[in-house]
Amino acid sequence: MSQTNKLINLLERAKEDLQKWLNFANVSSLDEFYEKQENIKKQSYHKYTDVIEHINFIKKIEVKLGKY
Amino acid sequence: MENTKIDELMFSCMEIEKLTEISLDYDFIMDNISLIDDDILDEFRYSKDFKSFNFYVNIQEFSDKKKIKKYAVGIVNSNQENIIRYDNVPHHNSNKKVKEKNPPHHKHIGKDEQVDGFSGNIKDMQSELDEILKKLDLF
Repeated sequence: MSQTNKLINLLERAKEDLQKWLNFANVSSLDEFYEKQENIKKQSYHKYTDVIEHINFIKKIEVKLGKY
Repeated sequence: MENTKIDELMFSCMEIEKLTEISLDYDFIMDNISLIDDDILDEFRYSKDFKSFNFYVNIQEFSDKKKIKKYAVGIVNSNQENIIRYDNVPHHNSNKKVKEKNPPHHKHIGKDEQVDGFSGNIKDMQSELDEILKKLDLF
């Protein structure tokens, strides 16, 4: 499989997994996450950073795929 | 855990009785690793849903030799609550339990994410996870 196709597969899965990280942070959407991020950060450093790191991971793959 | 290659970590997790299904994602995992080996990506993130829990591995940094530098490995229950999480973010180094083991390696136990020491040894993590997952089956 080409590296581009590997990146596409990874991106699809990373987008699916984002919902899991949002659920772990006890929110149902990205909008709700941004709205409540200060509270989430106070409750759990990891719940907050896990979502942020996952969002950055998706962006990183999208950059590699030339979407930006 | 540091200085371990990601495939060694993933193979080690696949050996855990309740996590053998990870091997169904073998090709996907190897594809992700190949992107790292080719310097296309510098991160590894994997998550798998099981019947009553979710297992995840996040490797945020690798060394020059593609060995694990910054990691988080954990299990979350179906209510989205932490069961156990191993990581080496150096923010608990002053905690007595972490200090006396092998900082910055530590673990978070239970839904309150209580901090405890961790050796940082992959085999210790493997046997602990094995034990925890077997106990989970009791419920």
